[in-house]
Amino acid sequence: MSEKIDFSHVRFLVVDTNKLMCQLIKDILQMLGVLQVATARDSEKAIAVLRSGGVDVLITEWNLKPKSGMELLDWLRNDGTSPDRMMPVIFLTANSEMEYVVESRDRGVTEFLAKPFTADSMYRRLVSVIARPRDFVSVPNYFGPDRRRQQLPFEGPDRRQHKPE
Amino acid sequence: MRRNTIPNRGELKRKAVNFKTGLGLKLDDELRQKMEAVVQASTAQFLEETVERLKGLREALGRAASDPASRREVLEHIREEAFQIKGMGGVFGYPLLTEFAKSLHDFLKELDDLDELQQEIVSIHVDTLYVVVSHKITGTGGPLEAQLRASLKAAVDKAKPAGAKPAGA
Repeated sequence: MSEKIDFSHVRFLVVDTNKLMCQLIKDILQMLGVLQVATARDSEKAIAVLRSGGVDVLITEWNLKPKSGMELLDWLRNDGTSPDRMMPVIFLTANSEMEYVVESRDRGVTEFLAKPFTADSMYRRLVSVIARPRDFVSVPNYFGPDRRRQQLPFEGPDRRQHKPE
Repeated sequence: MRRNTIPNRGELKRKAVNFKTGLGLKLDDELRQKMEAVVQASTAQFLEETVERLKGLREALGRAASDPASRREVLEHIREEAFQIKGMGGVFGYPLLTEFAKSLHDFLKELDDLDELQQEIVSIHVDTLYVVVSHKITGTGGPLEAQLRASLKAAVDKAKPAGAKPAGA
């Protein structure tokens, strides 16, 4: 018997300035069986929705106002008023160049999906954040998912434990 | 520097992952087709909106030409619209829209003003994007696509300072 995801138990917030993109992501999620999808067209509304609770996964564009998607991520990961510092965050963004991928990874994003995206790539990210949750790492300049993806058991000494992250 | 690992609470997995109901972890053909059908259902709306965006870009260029004081505002507007088309085109089966909008966005990235030559380059991009939308060009490799690509590249290269690398080099 193989694992399945019952999407009806997962609550999403989709944030994008583009109304059609918000609606499209919402339509796709609902087709997958998601029952609760909130949308926001700016980061202020996104923060209000997050603060009110009831969100399990955040899907956000980088290019937002007044705070950028990166500032929204920073707030969620590092601010004392964050409702859930370990919430999975998927960047779904047209900032698709490698520099953005690297920066988002280094600032604590869970998954990065460049626009334009395909059905396959989106589904893989959803499965990853729900069914393959990663541990979190806290070091002075980073709080976010463990960037070492494969967490295989290792029998030898942990030589990295006193080295910089 | 101490590395503190915090085990994932696994709440989401516990809530949603099971062995009885739901969708498989791998996307099968049937589900892929359903997801693509959802996208397909919004394609007409996307094309309509893109035409409106391009009309807006033409109007903005007109403003920049007649009122130099508006150039910065126009530049921001065009940058934002290029970003939107770049992200949307390929989703709806128009990868050439994404490619050309990216070319426009890249061209504008470092600018803080929009002089006449730069306005012309933007205008050529807008015209090219129009051609893709009006002809509903969904491919990337045909002769028309190659011609459009070449004309854009030549336009962008024209605006580059002498000695700079040509676009796509």
